[in-house]
Amino acid sequence: MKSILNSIRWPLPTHNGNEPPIQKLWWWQTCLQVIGVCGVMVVLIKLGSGLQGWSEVVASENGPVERISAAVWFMAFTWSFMAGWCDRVFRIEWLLISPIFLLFGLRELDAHVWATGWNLDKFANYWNPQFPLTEKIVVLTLMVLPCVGVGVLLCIRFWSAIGPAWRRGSLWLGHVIFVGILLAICLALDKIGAYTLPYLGIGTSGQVFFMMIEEFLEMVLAVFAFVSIWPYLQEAFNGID
Amino acid sequence: MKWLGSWIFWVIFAAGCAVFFLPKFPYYQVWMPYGYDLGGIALVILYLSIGFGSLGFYGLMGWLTSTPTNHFSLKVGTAGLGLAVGLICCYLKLMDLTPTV
Repeated sequence: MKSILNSIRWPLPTHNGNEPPIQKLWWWQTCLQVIGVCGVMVVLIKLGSGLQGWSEVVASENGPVERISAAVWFMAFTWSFMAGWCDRVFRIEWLLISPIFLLFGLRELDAHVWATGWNLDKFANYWNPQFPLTEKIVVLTLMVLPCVGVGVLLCIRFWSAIGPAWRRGSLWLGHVIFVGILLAICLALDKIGAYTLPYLGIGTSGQVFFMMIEEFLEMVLAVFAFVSIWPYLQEAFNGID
Repeated sequence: MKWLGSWIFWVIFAAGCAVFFLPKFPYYQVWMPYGYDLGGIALVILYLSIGFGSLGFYGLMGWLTSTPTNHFSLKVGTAGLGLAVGLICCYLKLMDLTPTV
C-alpha cells in the first residue's frame, strides 16, 4: 500500500532533468489578456450575428457565449487528451486533467440534466425513489466513481508538487489558484442569480444583468484554463510549430 | 508562422466554429439538444469534432510550415482531422436515426 502511495505521490517529473516548462506571465497579466480577448469577441459577435440585445448574445441559453465556453472546454479536453499520447513525461498529468475539462464542457451543455432526465448534480436525487435505480447505478459506476478517482489522484499529485513550486515561485501555481477562485465566483453567482435575487425581489432586468456577468465570467474561466495549459501543450507537441 | 503558436488564434478559431459554423450543420436548431431524442449526445459529438478538428488543423499547419519536415506533426494532424470527420459522420448518422421529441 505504501509503495502504491509513493508511486502516486512523486513530485512532477522534469524534461531532460530541467525545470518543467513554466508560464511566461503572472496570473493577473494572463487574466487581463483573456478578459480583453473575450470582450472583443463578444462585441464582434454582437456586430456580426445580427442579434438584437446584449442579453441575447451573452445571457441566452445555448447562446453564442455559452457555445464558446463549451467549445473551448472541449478543445482543452481534446488537446490535453492528445498531449497525453504525445508527451511521455507528463502523460499521467494530461490523462488526469483531460476528463476534468470534459466534465466542464458537458456541464456547460447541461448534460447533467438531459443525460438521464433528472439532475445529476443534486445529491438528494440519488435518494429519490422516483428515479430508476438502474440509472443511478450506471451514473455512479460510470461517472461519479471514475471522476472521484481521477480527482483524488490529481489532488495527490498536485499536492506533492505545490511545495517545490511555491519555493521555486512557479507561475503555474498562481494560475491554478486563480482558476479555483474564478470557479468559486462563477458557482456563487449561479446560485445567487437562481435563488437569492428572486427572494430579494430584484426584477427580471437585474437578474438578466447578473446572468450576463456570470456567463461572461464562465467564458473567461474556460479561456483562462486553456491559456494556463497552453505553454505545456506546446511543450507536449514540441516541434510542431 | 507565429500565429500558430498563439493561443488567441486558437480560441478565436474555436469561437468562430461554435458561433458561425455549428448552426450551419443539418438538423442543428437553436433549441438543441432538447429537440431530438438523442440530440444531446449528438451535440457533444459535434463539440468533440471542433476540438479534434482544431488539433488536426494545428498539426497539419505545423507539418506544412516545418523545415525539416516534421512527420510527427503530420501524424497528429491526420489523427485529429480523421477523428473530427468521423465524429461529424457519427453526428449525421445519429440525427438520421433519432426521432424528434
